[in-house]
Amino acid sequence: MNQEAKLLTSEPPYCEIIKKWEAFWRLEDLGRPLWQIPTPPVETLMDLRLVPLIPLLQDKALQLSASVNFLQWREALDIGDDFVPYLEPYQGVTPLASAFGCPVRYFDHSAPWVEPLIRPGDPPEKVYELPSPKVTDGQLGTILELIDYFVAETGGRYPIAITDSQGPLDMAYLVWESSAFMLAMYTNPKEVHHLMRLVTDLIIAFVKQERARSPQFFPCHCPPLWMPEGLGISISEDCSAVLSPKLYEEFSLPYVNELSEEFGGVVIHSCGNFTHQFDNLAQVHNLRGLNFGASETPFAAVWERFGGKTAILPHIGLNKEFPFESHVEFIEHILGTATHSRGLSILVTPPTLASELDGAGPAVELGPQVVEEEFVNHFVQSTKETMERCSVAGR
Amino acid sequence: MDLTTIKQAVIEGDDKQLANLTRRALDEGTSAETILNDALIVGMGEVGELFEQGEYFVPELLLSARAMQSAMEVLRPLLSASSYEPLGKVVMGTVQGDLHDIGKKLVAMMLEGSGFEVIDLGTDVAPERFVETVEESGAQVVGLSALLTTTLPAMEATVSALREAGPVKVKVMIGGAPVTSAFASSIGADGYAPDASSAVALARRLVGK
Repeated sequence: MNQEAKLLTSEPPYCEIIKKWEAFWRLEDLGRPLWQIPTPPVETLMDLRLVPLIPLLQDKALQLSASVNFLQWREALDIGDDFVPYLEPYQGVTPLASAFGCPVRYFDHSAPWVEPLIRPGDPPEKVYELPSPKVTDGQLGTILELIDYFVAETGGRYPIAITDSQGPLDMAYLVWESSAFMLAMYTNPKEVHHLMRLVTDLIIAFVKQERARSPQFFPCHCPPLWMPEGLGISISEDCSAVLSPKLYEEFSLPYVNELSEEFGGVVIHSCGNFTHQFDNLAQVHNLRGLNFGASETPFAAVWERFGGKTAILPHIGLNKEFPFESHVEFIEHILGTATHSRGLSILVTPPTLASELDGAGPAVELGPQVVEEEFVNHFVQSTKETMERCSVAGR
Repeated sequence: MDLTTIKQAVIEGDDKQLANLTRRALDEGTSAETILNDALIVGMGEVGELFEQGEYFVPELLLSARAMQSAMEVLRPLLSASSYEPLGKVVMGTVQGDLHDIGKKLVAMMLEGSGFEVIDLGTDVAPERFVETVEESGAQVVGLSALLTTTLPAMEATVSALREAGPVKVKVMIGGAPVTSAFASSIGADGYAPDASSAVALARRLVGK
């Protein structure tokens, strides 16, 4: 066990980068957008298949050592972006659902998944049989153990990120099978609100635990950007894409606002197109930022409605009908559309590396040098060149 | 009875009303096939259009599909006893290792709403189960869904298993977030659909209707 260590974030270059982020969240003019190649340690290790997946999730010593090695490797690349290293205690998107008793299934090829407790055909009233989980139930206990272990082993040197707790709506969809849950919004609204209440209470209680155990809390999971304590937390609202504005206003907005009031604000992430929810998003209290894939949600539309009012945090997105030929085109599109750089941060995700590796076999067999070569030569270099060409040089 | 009322109940997703209206139309002498073709399928078609136009979202689609099911429960015994033939038979499933359900479910519902018979095998379906079901049911089309990039190899394995299985020349259509038309071609699938409406059009094309 290490003695208390000096916080990484108090040292150059990170102390300077953090000052920029503080100004960024105040929507000040920094003369350029902030940018980074987002690399949440465990998820990147999983995506690139650098470490066998199930042991990575189940062995806390392996999760820590692999994460620290990865962060050191990334630091040595000297990308020059606005990245602040952190550790993420990670078990997938399922910890909160598992706390309700949802059985967790582990895979060797992807993050864990849970079986819902309320299935199609079950009476919606089954929701009243659900427990009010404790913060140590299911995988939540594992997350808290990981936090304690990370802090003890590193002496608290690294910030500790909020785990992927999604948001109230996304979590409710895991506990109550999604199609049955959506039908119940029409047929059994009271029961839907009951589950939303339980899930929201659990998120609040659990995030407080995470925060209390972390010497320096990193409150944004997705997007993985530095945000000072007190400005809020990030939540994922992927399901906002499939709901009408009316249903979202009734079944999600009140709970999002409750989280915002509790933690000082929210950054909202969605993997789907949420343009039809703009009026609802404008009602979110202390909306600190919007994170979305520009291949799903048009950047121009988000910028026009929210640019300069809240942080705009685009990444390339998952849409395979890709409107961007490459990450270079994505960067050029964002910089060509934005009318100023206040509150703009570009997340440049590698679009091709994982698929190239899919064809070649798991990176764990190919050796890390292949990943390094691909990553550095094909992606980091071209990203840096594009940023420089577009006059957005980093630190 | 004016079939517009039945069509409207589909669009509004009113399952109780729709079952009653269907019974009443039958009592008044309208044939089961007419109710299906001229009211239910037409209604679901309009629901699909409202979805594409961004007027309807997934819950509204689910509500209409459920309403259609309630009418189909009334009609099914009569259709079975008649010479009615569905547009085709489709086996649907999310491939092995993938537990994501909603996209596949939407496609299945839209296919049923368009007059196909659908056998939904659920999620995490092994290649051999698809093969067995196709052999048992005589389905003309298999629809494979995947959300995870990491389960695309399972999609390829399922297509291979279906191709190797034998004489039945079943058509395979695929879809899901990581899937592209190029990937469909590369694994020997017969088509790719980016969404539920396109899946219906593709299935029609694959069965020649």
